Amino acid sequence: MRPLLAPMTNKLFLLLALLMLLALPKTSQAEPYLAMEMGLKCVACHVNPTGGALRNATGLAFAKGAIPANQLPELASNWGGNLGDYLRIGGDLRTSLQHSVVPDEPTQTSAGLDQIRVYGDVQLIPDRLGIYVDDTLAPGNAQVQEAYVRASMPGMAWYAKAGQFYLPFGWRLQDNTAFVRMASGISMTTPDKGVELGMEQGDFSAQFDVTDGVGNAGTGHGYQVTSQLIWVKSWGRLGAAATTTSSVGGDRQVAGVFGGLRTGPLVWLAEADLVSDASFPQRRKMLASLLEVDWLVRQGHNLKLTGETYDPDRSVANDNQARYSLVYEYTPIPFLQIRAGYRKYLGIPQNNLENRQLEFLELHGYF
Amino acid sequence: MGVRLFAPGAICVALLTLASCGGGSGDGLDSNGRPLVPGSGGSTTAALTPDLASIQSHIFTPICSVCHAGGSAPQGLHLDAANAYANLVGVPSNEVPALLRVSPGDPADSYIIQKLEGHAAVGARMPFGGPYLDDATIAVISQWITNGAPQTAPAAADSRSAAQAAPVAATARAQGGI
Repeated sequence: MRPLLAPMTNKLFLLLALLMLLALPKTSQAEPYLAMEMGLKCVACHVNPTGGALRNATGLAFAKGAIPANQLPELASNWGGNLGDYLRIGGDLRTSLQHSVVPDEPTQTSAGLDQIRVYGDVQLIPDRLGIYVDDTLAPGNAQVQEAYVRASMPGMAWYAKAGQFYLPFGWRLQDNTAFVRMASGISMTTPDKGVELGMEQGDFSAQFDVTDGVGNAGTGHGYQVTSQLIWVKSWGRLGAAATTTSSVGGDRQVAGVFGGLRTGPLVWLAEADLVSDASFPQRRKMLASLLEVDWLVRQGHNLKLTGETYDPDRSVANDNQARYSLVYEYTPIPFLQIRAGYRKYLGIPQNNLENRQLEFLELHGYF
Repeated sequence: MGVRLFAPGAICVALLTLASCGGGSGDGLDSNGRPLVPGSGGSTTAALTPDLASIQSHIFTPICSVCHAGGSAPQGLHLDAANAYANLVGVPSNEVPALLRVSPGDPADSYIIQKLEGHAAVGARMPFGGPYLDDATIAVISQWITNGAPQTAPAAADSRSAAQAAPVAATARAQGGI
């Protein structure tokens, strides 16, 4: 019996895991605190040198061995996403259950699939020339998020991308609704088309991008220039980023500083972005900030506390907003994470939406 | 032991620090966080009605234009008061160009309704990340579209300049441009 049951049990387990993934209901796939815990650059674990999405062999090994509380049977975790010598693929699935409470309004519960994504990287010339594609398969029809050609020196010492990709600006957070991501206008929901020149040398990472500008989509007018420099050490990192957009919707500049620090089991992330937007009759300046602390309680268990502030117009008093999140992340086995969180928004009392609360449960599968 | 105590202690300090930051008092502001201008209205205490000014004041300005405004507006869709009409009515969707963002008289085939209801062919339901608009609110927007999506005075809801937005409107209408 045993020889028959063992493979059946493995298959049953995998089937159940798959069904769980398909049955339950945020977007994108980056967690910079993980890089901070290891004192590594994004490029150490991701195919994309600016981080997120498809993992390389190191990233996959990290995802298998260093993140989850438990290990899978060896056979189930051996596959590394390689299809032949030149093609590597990966995927990401997120479902969520949300309960929102807006003062004086009916509470709202929503559940559903947030995204199914697949990504692939073809090495046309190993370590020199590749094509990278990141495609959202659901919800709705397929939609390309990133698709670019990448030419590089070995180890990404210097590289160039051309095509559609996410812009490098500040912490590449999983939560695209964070104030710093919304205010900067750069998140993993806003890919742009253009070229990027980057380098990964010593303790430094840098990028310089010239793109169409997200706000210019469909109009064909304007451009966006973005640059970022990061100094990475084993204890933490410091970065600065800037972007300027020329747009028929109004020119816009954003400057940001961000950093991270590791203190024992805690990882601290911080970012502050100043936005200057000329799309208003009088140019408005906005300020968004983030402070996040991640506590690796033990392997597979992470507690995340985030505080954010947002001033939508620095020339107007009494209009500040704040947001606090408490999220527990449990990774029971490789490639499967459960997240439960509570988020409280604080804003002016006459705006109910700015004072809402959100509770959420997410299931995240990835490989 | 030291490390064990350090982590929760540091988190408590962070909590206390963060707790000192809250929302603004809102003194002197309308419900959209803009300075009150005597006689201009600007409050959303009135019920939502199927006209653009009301929809702008209740939905587009406080919810949508948080992202959909300025040089970083996703999909080039500007939903501030000065630009919303010209960016919506009769303008092809960027994601599904065969559909108009607002097709006057035809809410079912208006892309904005599909995005708000969560059954658009492409992309996430709006408002991104929720909370989503309830059925009654979407019905009011549908009613405005059924009524032909007439333009009403767009400037009451916030203080953006219609004159400054004219080039945006012209370009969006000419070239298409959720």
